[in-house]
Amino acid sequence: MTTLSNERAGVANLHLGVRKKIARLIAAAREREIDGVPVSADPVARQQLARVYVYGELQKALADACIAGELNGRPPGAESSITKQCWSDIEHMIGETSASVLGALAHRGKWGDNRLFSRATSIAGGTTQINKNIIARRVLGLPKA
Amino acid sequence: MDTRYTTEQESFRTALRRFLEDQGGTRFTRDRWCDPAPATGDTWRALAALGVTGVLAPAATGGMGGQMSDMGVVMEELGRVVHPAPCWASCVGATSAAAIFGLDSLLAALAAGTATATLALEEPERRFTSWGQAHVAVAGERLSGRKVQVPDALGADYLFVTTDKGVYLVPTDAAGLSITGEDCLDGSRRFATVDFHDVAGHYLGDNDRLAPVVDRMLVALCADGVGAAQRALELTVAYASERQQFGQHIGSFQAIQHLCADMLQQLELGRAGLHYALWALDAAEPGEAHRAAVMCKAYTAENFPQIGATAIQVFGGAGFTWEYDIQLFYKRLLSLQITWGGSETWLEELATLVIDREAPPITADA
Repeated sequence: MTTLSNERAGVANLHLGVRKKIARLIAAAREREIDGVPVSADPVARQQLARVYVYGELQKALADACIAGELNGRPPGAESSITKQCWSDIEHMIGETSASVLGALAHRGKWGDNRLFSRATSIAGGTTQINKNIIARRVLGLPKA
Repeated sequence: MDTRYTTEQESFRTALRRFLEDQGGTRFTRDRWCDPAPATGDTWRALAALGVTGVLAPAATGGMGGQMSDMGVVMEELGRVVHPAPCWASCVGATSAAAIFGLDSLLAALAAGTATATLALEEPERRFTSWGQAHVAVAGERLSGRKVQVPDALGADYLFVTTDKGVYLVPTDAAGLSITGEDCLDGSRRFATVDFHDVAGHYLGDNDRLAPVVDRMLVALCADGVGAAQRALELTVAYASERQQFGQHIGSFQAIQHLCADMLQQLELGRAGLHYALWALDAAEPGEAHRAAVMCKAYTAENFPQIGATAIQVFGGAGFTWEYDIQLFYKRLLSLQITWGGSETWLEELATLVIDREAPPITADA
């Protein structure tokens, strides 16, 4: 549990980067027009953008809960163990949403780089699968093989 | 600022959990599954004596004068045993509405548990978010029209009804009013269709005065979901730790472990949203409280049914039997999914709040 608890200091600010990207994605969707209509007015794009926005905001709520726990001397709860993989899930989601709402603009430049790099987020710093193994055994207490 | 529950709130939770377990836990609900009669008997009176029914009522009317964060604890514990009592409708919805309109004698009765009331907002074939642009028509202070998905209307004493002229208070024994129970796969909840045929009502004020009440209801429903999902995860881990296949506990298989880890991730992200929303309802300005409530319901409605579905997958065939409790929790989360608007409805509402504005609002530092 020590590793997991130390993890919470390192991942508490991950929401800053994703929320900035989400705000930029929403702005880009407002600017881009398809058949004369802003993408941000398309019902499907609106659902996708609103969904990724919720995840970004909840990532901040999660990080704040970790920090408040640390400041108030609570033992690390489940919230700190899942912060990293929630973040990598959002990075994946931003990549997919950018492809969906920006179309060919997401072939290149920042959005293109971001789509490629998002794969690293579920690998570096402990893969999502290794994290799930740890959570299952150390947080949930599931038995060893 | 810490948005998690306080030590006092956790003590209240412990007392309430013990009481609900003494009442039989989920057995209490099983005995009343799909029962149209309201669960307002001895247990309800005991809940009132514990202060549960009056959490949100002002102290001057016999309540606790509490906040939504206090009510969050109550809703989590009721969700944990899929309790059928009309707390969501009456102790959150009607109590908050009665406070807004200054109905002190009704507040006193709701706080004491001697009366229950509910909110009749949704109309047939209309998005839930249109509750303020109601079609129930008022002519000469008399209401005509139909409301659907009204929680705990059967057995309630009063209805708060949105109409084309504003909010009306209608006693359920009024002439021309009929209440018909709606079938629901979740037998722990009771919804009804309410028909008004020239029913006399009492005008209270504009529809939009109920907006903060709707936000409270959304978040309280999510708190119920957190309680139910937490219990579903506990039951799933316990079952996986005990059930054996191929000579091993199934909980030792990575395939099962990862499913359980997925459940925890969805639960904890939802819990983070819940605590932020409870804080926002109690301490932030109304616009921020609304945004937080909408995010909370959008996330929970979309993800918590999946927690229940994963639980059923881990239980395998046992999850389909009446004997195991896990199906009760799955059903509670499935009804949460679409009660008072599903995730599509609330994501669209969120889109109007954040995408259609020049500078999308950001989550405050609680």
